[in-house]
Amino acid sequence: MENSIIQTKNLNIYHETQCILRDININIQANKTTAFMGPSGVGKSSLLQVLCGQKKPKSGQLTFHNVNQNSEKNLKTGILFQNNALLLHLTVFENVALPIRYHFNLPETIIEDIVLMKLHAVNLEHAANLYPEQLSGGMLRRAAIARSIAMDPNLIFYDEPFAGQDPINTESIAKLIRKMNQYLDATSIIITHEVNLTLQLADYIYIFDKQTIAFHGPPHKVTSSKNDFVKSFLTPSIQTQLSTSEK
Amino acid sequence: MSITHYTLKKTKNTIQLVGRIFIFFLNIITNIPYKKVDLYQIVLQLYYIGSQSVSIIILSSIFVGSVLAIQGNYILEMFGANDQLGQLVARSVLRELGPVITGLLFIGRAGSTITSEVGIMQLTDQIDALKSMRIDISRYILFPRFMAVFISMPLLTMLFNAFAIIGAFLISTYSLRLDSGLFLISIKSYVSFWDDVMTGLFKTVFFGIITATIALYYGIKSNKSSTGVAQASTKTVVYSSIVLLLCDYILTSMLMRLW
Repeated sequence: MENSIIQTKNLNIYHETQCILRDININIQANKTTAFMGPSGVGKSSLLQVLCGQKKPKSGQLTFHNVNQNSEKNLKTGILFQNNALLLHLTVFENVALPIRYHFNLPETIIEDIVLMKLHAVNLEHAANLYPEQLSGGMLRRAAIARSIAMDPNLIFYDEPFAGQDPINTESIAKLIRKMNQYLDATSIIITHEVNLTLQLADYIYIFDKQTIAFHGPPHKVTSSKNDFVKSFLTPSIQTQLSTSEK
Repeated sequence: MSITHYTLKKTKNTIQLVGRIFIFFLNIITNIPYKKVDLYQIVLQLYYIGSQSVSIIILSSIFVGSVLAIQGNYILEMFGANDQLGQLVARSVLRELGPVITGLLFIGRAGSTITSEVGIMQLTDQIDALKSMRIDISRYILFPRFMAVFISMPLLTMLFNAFAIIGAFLISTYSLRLDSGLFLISIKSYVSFWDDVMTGLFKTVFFGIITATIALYYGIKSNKSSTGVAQASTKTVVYSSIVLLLCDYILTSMLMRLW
């Protein structure tokens, strides 16, 4: 595809000797939100690790923006880790400032302005001087989002952004992701179990089952899928959505 | 499996491990940081690793010095040579006890802390997060901690030496009722700066390298689990202590011209 930012061809991912994903062919479209869904342990996070260069595939082809994956392009990649992965000895401000300080030799006043702008975007300016241990779960997630967008990435990976969050936080994080995509004009890849929100948020969905892709397509087509696994995976959420709308 | 086969396998594994740790050490010392962010980390780690070990070193050194004075006096009294107590204490501390006990205390205090800290950074994906931001782990995490240990070890040994001798002096003067002047004169007359003070400090350079390299190696290689981090800390303390004592034997033999 012409507008694809990441493309894989017959990608095989193994954990030591165990096959996790087999013959994976995906196309991530630029400036779109793509969601990877599926049950726990199906290999979504492993695929994400391969796409962001943390893990090597056993075989297959991975094309990253038409250049090699380990290129300077990685500088424009942001990752939201499942457990936030904020540096515990640094404050929220220092966490967000770290990649900027590391890669650019900017005056401290400019760094301060940039960091406060990022914290403002996630509504966390008041917590700038707090350490990660002093933050709530939702605040931690927003701080991690602020750090992942610190370098104005054009590709953002979100690993389970809604995991462990209450419904209000989940909704606000979903809004935040939407806002980031809009302002940064970025490509987003989301790994999640949250079906309802993903159907609203994503432009394209991949559902994984038994080491392979069970469904891929735009969200409006997922309900018409004839795959039994996809139906059973989506049914509880769709029923919930229907019963809520009936009420 | 026969004993010979088992021994050969273990020896091969040990040699491979030593090789991996040596390559790891080369990787650390060849990635010298040049960015302000990395250099600031050295100062920060000097505070966490060095300054925060000062109290434990001073306290231990006073007790070691005191015990040495009591035991030394007991032996010297048999030969009527109590006036040589100062020399005995100072030379024992400066040449051997100071560097070795400081090294062992430092392994327990700072070595295990470094391994746990780096291991927890692995466990909580902080290392992966740094890599994803294209921040060089060797320069940002490893080198600052290595340098902090390398710089702290001789300084803490000097502190240990000083306070151990002070402790021995106080015990000999106020508890053993020996002449304080004779204690000090025997040190001044017999203790050599180059042969006693510097040989001891020379060892600490190697002890620092051993402690830092092993602690960082097991921290970065720890399994991503709480038991993995705990096992890594235990390995650091055990292996560092053994290698430090082995290194002490080799260095002492060389410095005493036994080889």
